[in-house]
Amino acid sequence: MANPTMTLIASQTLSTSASSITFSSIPQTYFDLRIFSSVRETGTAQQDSMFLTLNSDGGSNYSSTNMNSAAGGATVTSTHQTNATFVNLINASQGTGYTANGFAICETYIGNYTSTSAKGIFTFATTFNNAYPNNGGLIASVYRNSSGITTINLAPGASSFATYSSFYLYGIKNS
Amino acid sequence: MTDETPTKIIVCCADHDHANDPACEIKAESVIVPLTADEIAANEAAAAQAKADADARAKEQAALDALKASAKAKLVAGQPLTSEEADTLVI
Repeated sequence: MANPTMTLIASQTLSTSASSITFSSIPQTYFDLRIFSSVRETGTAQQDSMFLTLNSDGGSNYSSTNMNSAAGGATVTSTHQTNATFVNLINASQGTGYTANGFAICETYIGNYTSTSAKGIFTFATTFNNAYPNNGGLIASVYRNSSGITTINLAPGASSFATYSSFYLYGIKNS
Repeated sequence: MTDETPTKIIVCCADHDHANDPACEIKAESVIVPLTADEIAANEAAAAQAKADADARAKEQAALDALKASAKAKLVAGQPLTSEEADTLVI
């Protein structure tokens, strides 16, 4: 009988601001990867993005469809990016323009990350703001690459990740 | 005004002796290193692209809102709609 497990591979809580974070040498011993983040930027942005790149690959190998809200749901839009050089995780970060000490939260699931064909990625993100309902983002992506994922890089939409921003990388397998 | 060098944090995920395993590229569980010029340029390009995407989304939304408002006004006034205005209606 299958015995699913989710194992913490690595985590990082920033003690100083940083322009990006990279998880390197990711073991190829799991089936899927899951990333949780709690992020704030040092800049003045309100709702903002986080940029995801894999295997240090800046090529046009990422395509996404996304549905996201702004102004607390006053507007909801859906768009797509084809052959982009990164995955734009909309509403996965926020700056000082939102509630003090508030952090955007985000969860990204990377399926079959050791595959030698394209990988599917799904992300849910939301900002945090006391002023009105928070802004969410649903992003469905594909990464076209023939190698397993060994490196994950996350960068804020602007400025730097603020102190206390946290990142957790988990590996998932069935036994 | 500060003029700090942008840095990144690298976290080694391998389960090994970071300091002594030749396979460990950073020789530690995590290190803080300055961004290269290429990395800074890539971050700036990504930020510019994301802003352009966001601006495009806002422009599309504003155009749709304007069409809906125009369609509503014409319906109330009993005037014919354009094809684009009719497309904004949900039946």
